[in-house]
Formats: sequence, structure tokens, C-alpha cells
Amino acid sequence: MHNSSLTTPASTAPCRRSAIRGLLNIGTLLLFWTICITVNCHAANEKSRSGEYNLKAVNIYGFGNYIRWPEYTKIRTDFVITVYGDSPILGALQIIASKKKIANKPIVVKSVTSISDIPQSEILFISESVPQGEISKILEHTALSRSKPLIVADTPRMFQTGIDIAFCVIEDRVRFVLDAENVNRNGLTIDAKLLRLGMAPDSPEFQQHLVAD
Amino acid sequence: MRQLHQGIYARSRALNLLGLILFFTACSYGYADEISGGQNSSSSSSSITPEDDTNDPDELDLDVMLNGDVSADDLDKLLELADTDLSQISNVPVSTGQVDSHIQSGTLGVEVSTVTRTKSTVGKSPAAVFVITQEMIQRSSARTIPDLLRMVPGIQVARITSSSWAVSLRGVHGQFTDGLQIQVDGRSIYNSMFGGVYWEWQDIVFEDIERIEVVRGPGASVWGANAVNGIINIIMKDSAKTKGTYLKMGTGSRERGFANASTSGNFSDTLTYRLYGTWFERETGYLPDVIPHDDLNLMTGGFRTDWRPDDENHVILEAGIFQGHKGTLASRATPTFPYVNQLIEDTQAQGYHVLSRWTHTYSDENEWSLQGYFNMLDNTNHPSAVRLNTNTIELDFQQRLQLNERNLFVYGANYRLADTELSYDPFYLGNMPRDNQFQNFGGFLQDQYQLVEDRWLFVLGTKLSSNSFTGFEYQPSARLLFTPNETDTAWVAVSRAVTLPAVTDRYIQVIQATPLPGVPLFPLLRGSTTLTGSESVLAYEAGYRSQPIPEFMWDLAVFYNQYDNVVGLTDPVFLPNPNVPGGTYAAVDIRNGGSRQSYGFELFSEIELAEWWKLRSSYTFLQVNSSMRDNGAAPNNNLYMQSSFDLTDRLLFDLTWRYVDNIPSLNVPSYNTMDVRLSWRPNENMEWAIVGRQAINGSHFEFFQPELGYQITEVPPEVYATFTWRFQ
Repeated sequence: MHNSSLTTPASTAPCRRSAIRGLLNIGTLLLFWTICITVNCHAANEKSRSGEYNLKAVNIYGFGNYIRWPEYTKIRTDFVITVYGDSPILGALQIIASKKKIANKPIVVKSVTSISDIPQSEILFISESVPQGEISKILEHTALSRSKPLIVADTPRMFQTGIDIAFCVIEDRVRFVLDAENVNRNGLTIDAKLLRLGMAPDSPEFQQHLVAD
Repeated sequence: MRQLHQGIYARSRALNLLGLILFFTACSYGYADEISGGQNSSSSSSSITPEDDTNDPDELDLDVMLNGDVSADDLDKLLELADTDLSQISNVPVSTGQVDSHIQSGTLGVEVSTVTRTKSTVGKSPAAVFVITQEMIQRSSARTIPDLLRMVPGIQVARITSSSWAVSLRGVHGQFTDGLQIQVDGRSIYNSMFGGVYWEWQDIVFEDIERIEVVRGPGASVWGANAVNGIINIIMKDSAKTKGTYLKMGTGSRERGFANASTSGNFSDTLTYRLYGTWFERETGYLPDVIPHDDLNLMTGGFRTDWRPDDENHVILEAGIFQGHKGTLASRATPTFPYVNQLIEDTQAQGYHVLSRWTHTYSDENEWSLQGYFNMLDNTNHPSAVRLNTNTIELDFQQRLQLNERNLFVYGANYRLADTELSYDPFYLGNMPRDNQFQNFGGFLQDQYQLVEDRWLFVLGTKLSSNSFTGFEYQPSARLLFTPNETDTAWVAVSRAVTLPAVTDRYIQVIQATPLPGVPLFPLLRGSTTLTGSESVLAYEAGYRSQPIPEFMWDLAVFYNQYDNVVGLTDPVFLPNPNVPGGTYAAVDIRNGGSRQSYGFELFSEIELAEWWKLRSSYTFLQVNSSMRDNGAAPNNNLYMQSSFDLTDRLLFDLTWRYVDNIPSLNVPSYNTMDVRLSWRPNENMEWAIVGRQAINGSHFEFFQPELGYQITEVPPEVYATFTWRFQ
């Protein structure tokens, strides 16, 4: 009975409209799904990035322990890590600061967005959000400092003369390039183990990564 | 038609609704991360210091700060890994940000420092090593250290009485077994008088143990004296890591009462301390027809301070005292009929120790440490008035140097002086010298050479020493480790080690009770000053451990030990006893020159069947063949299984089952038994637990050694309950 009524001319138009509406709805749903998948991919990417920044933060903590700091560091009450520019690394560093010490001193994490605000620090982390031109100015500024911090860059692209360490993500692992000569010039002594972990700036591994990046 | 139309509309509305729900769910899921990420960013221009209230980890909203999938726990694990071995951080995938359980969980990633006297992990140790972690201790039903050691593959533990144990590894089993180096926080606790340990006088606050590292096989190339068949290294927590107060107390059918307390704090930012105390009263063992007399009471107390004036220096000062009493019913020889007397011969013991260690660290791989300790033990039997007083001084120095990228060099020197004084009734102990001094001086060298970085490691070292009894000794070792990947490890080792002679081996003269009451036949055990050289072992070992999936790991070690110049007993010689008319001695002398072989394997596995269910099991096969009269004094087969259930987050249930083979030469039957533990943790600072031990098969003997001359008792079923409380 239903079949026969569906085929009657009088009932065809509303049915078509319904079918069109149905198709539109399915289209809308597909669109929503596409958006959802896109958003989720973005979210997954963010999660991956959060993992990346936790690993970078733990590495920075490790740098603190595998570097012999100069005498003037010993008279300071705190071990200061400054984050320059907006970066997701801040949260992880703050938690590390609440639980750990470096060089037997409490860790203090500071966040700044302008060169004039950079405090006296043991480690200066420069976020990838900082424009390339500004990095040179930061390096010029810190070069004038009496106690130059260990300068750590967020990405390999930021690596240049004056940067001590730059992080790289290679094959889903956080690695870093280490300019040992530059670090030593600044009166810091790197432990042999840290030297082994870091890539040399002229190492084929790092150069290949730069090309591929 | 209208209904159909409405139906289509309804379906399309439902689809829209479903789409919107999915959309918002997905969006909120994605955006939540972005929002929290934004919070991270928005916290810029701020400064957080440890002094800020918001920096208290309990108050920080850690997950918000971290964002994404990565929890505060994951970050803790990363930090733990960085503290142990920074290189492992480069093995953690960015996509998860989580420490792979291959690396961190329990087994392969657990820190070990005993094998080479340098910081390493189980997965990178070229030896048969097992670590008892704090989590294993908490889930154990053990109340004593020997009971705790039962879970270690390869180790033989037998309770002789309620107050004495036999603990051995890969060799002959007995109360006075030597050949094991046993340390508590760097202090050797074996007694130079007989080379073994008075387990009854050891009590530790289990909560303060960082971990127990057990290395099976020789470790003499770096540890020297007594590290022949293995090393048990009990490492206590740094006092900076034990904040607040810990209290545990309990009572039971055999444990009349016990209490452990420990409190920690800091005098300043650089000086922390821990005070501790323990007490227990243990009921006797069980015998079907007679009243046993082997109860044990013990009180201990002490402190540890950790001073870190700067990041390079760490000074530890610790001290402890104890006082104990144990009941013994002994069969003693008498000069008159029936020539044997059962008498209560209780032991009163007291002692103390002081230890200090200074560690100077240049970097993770470059440091030296200097340690010294003094230990006094006074053991007096009443009424026989046999008194043993031992004073031990030991000095130890070691330096670790990372010579270059491939060579990690360790060397050290050590001096030990043990002074033993003995008071006795000559009828029991013949003419033993009343004052003995034993000195041992030595040094060791060891190089760890990375043949291929992170793949092949070669360890070569030797200990060179000189002692009062046997003069110069050398104890070399060569080990090769292959780690094809992060989940597999293969190793082989060849070592030579020596057992330094104990004072008793040379000077003991014990006149034992006649085995035939009424017959004046007295077994006489005599040491020999003509013992030549030390008992040595040449040990061949190999092992493989693997964690193919995060939830499963296994560890196999095989060994063959060839002992030479073995100390053993001769056949009896009959001599007249001038003190007893018509009396005869059946004199058995301690001699060396024998040989012994031991071989076997130890297999351990751990599997996590679910997040709430973990199984651990081990099987040990041991065969000992000896030309001396100690042949086969160890069970051939041991099986151990533990099941740990987390019934809920707060309710934990553990079952432990073990089978121990018979020891034919000692007439000890095989047995299997089970321990059950149920604990409830209403919050993270409190725990109630009820424990049933020997829950199946009733009482059983675990050991029998008639020449010990005292009453040996069965291990009966028992129940005890505990309450644990931690507070700031």
C-alpha cells in the first residue's frame, strides 16, 4: 500500500523535497565529519606537540645537570630558566621547577616577550614563535651580559652562531645539536655524556636533517 | 504520508543532532587541548619559583599545565628517566610523549649500581641481576629480610628456627654459609668470625629501602671479600627523599607485635635527616610434641643525615644500635652421664655502627667517594657464657673517571680490620684462641669499554688484595654485553673469585653433644691453621633478558662454577677424650683441597595481564657436586609465583606460591606453600593489611642441620595484621 502511494504523482514532489533534504543533511553530516576529523587531526598534532615540549623541558633539566656551571652561578640563590616568547614548554618547565633542583638550587622559570625584560639567567630558551630577526638581537643582548646564559633554541632552523643548543625532532624523537666550542667559550663545561648525546653542528646527521626539514 | 514525511524529518533532525553532538564533542576535545595550551602560553610573563604557593605540586593543576595526553605521571617518569640516564630521553617517542614501558617499567629500566659500581640499569648490566623495588616490598608478605629475598630467582632461603635463617646463592646451603657479600647502605654485614650473617639481628624499616639489588654470581673484581656467589646490596633512601613520618605497626599469631617508625626532616636546605626505630617480638616456631624455645625479640634505632653543601659534595653520616634476645634450646655435651644435656641457652646481643661517606661528584660519570665505618657486635649465650665480640673497621675509596667517550674507568682501595674476641667454657670450645685479628687490604681496577656505542660493552677488571690468612689474592673478571635494541640484552662473563677464610675455619674447636645419650662419644669439629690458600671459583655465566612487549619480560641466566681448594670436612677420626673417663672424640677436621662443581639456570618472567593484574614467576635449577662432605646441601628445584591483583584502586590482593625441592643429604623434605595478602588503602597515606602465611599444607621444616646442636623448628601457618600511616 505504501509503495503504491509513493508512486502517485501527487506524492512525488514532497518526497523529492524530503530526499533532497535528506541528501543535504547527509552532506551537512559529511561536512561536519570532515571538520571533526580536521579538528581532531589538529588536536592530535597539538598532543604530539605537547609531548614534544615535555621532552624538550626534560632535556633542558638534563642540560642543567650535565653542565658544570661557573663559580658565579654558585653564589646565586636560584637557578633561572627564562623562556623567551610564547611557548607550550612553559607549563612543563614550571612543573619541573616545582619538583626538582638544578645545581642544588631551586629552579625559577621566567617568561618574557621583550629583550629588555630578559633577566639574569642560567638557561635562556628561545621559542619558535620569535621572528628570526629578533633572535639576532637577543644574541647581541646576551653577548653583552657578564654571565652569558646557555642559549637553547626551539627548532633547528633557529640554529646560528651564538646559539648553544637547538632542538630537532628526528624520526619522532627529540634530539639536539650542540655547539660545544661556543658553550666552552662561555665558561661552561659540558659533561662527556652530554657531548655524546648531542649532534655536532657539522655532523652529517644534523646537516641532512636541515636539508630535509 | 504525513507520518512518513514527519518520519523523514525526524530522522534528518536526529542525524543533524547526532552530527552536532559529534561535532561539538570532537571540537571540544580538540579545543580543550588548545585552550589548555593557550593557558600555558597565557602564563607567560609570569615567574614561578619553588617558594610560590602555586608551585606546590599538590596544588598545581598539572594536567592543565601540561595539556594533551601527557599527564603529570608521564612527566614524572620522564624526570626519573633523566635522573637515571639522560640518553634514554632520546628514545621516547614525541608522538606519545610517554616513557615506553620497555624502558621504564619495572625491569629493564630499573637502576642498578652494584654490578660495576657505576650507575646503570638492569637492561644494561652484564650480569644476572635482580632488583627488589619498593613496590615489590610493599606488596610482599615478608616481615624479615630473608623472607623478602625469597622472591629473587636463584636465591635459597630457609628458615631454620623462628630466629635463624640459611640464605645462600648458587651453592652450598647452610646457616653459616659464606661466599655472599651482603651490604646495608654500603656497610658489609657479614661476620668475619664465620663469614656469614646474623640475620636475626637485622631489622630495617622497609619503607626506607630504596631498592635491593641482588647480583648472582661473582662480583669480587670490584667488591672483593666474600662476593663469590653473589652480592645482596640493600640501598636505603636518601633522607631528602623521605619527608614526613612513617608508622607501621601490627600483631599476629606468630608476630606478637611489631612496630616500625621513621621520621624525616631538614635542618636547613642542605642538611636533611631521618630518625628510625623498629621493634618486634616473635613467637616460637612449631614442633608437634615438644614446646619449642626459639622466640626472638629485637629493638633497633638510628639516624641518617645527608648533607649537600653544594652540588658537588654529598656527605652521609649514619649510625644505628640494636639490642636483641633469642631463645635457643641446645643439646650440649656434659662430662657426666648421660653426656648430653638439653639446656636453654638464650642469646643476648647488642651492637652499634657508625658510617660516614663523602661523595664528590664532578659530573655524572666522574666522581670519587670515601667511606668508613665501625661496627660492633656482641653476642653472648647464657648460661654457657660463650661470648663473641666482633669489632670491624672498614675504609673504602673509589673513583670513577670517564676517560673518553668509550672508556669508563673505576678504581678503588679498601681496608678491613675485624677483631674478634671469644670467651667460652673450654669444655665446649676446646682451645680456640680468644683474640683474633683479620686484616684485608686491596684495590681494584675496572674499565668499561664501549666496543660499539650503545651496542657492545666490554668490562674488564680485577681485584688485588692481601689478607692475614692467605696473603695475596687476585680476582679478575671479564664481561661482554650486547644490546641489539632497547628491549633485548645478552651477556657473557668469566670470573675468578675467592672466599676468604673465616676465623672459625682455622681455629674452631667445638665439642658437640653425643648423638647416643649414655655413650661418651663426642663429635669434635676442629679448624685447621694449616689451611693453605683460599677456596676459589672459576665462574662461567651467560644470560639473556628481553621485554618483547611492554607487558612481558623474561630473564634467563645460566652458570657453571668450578670451585677449587674447597673447604670441607674430613671423615671422623676417633681420639680419646681426656676430660671424660672412657670418653672418645669423633674428630672431624676442616680441610681444604677439595673440589666442587655447581651448575644450573634461573628463569624469571613478569607479565602484566591487565592494568590491575601482574604475575611474576621464577624457576631455579641448581645442581651441586662436591668431593667434600657438603654434597648436595641445596634444593635442586625452586619455583616461585606471585600474583598481584588491584581489585580496586584501594583494595590490593597478593598471592604468593612457592615450591622448594627436598635436600636429601640433610633429610629436608620438599614443600610448597602459599602466602596471601589483602590490603586496603583508604587514602594514599594509610593502609590496613591482613596477611596469611603458610596458608596451605600446614607446618613444615625448611632446613635441618643436626650439627648445629640446637632445636630446629617447623614453620607454622600464621596470620598477622598491619596498619601503616604516613603523615607530614
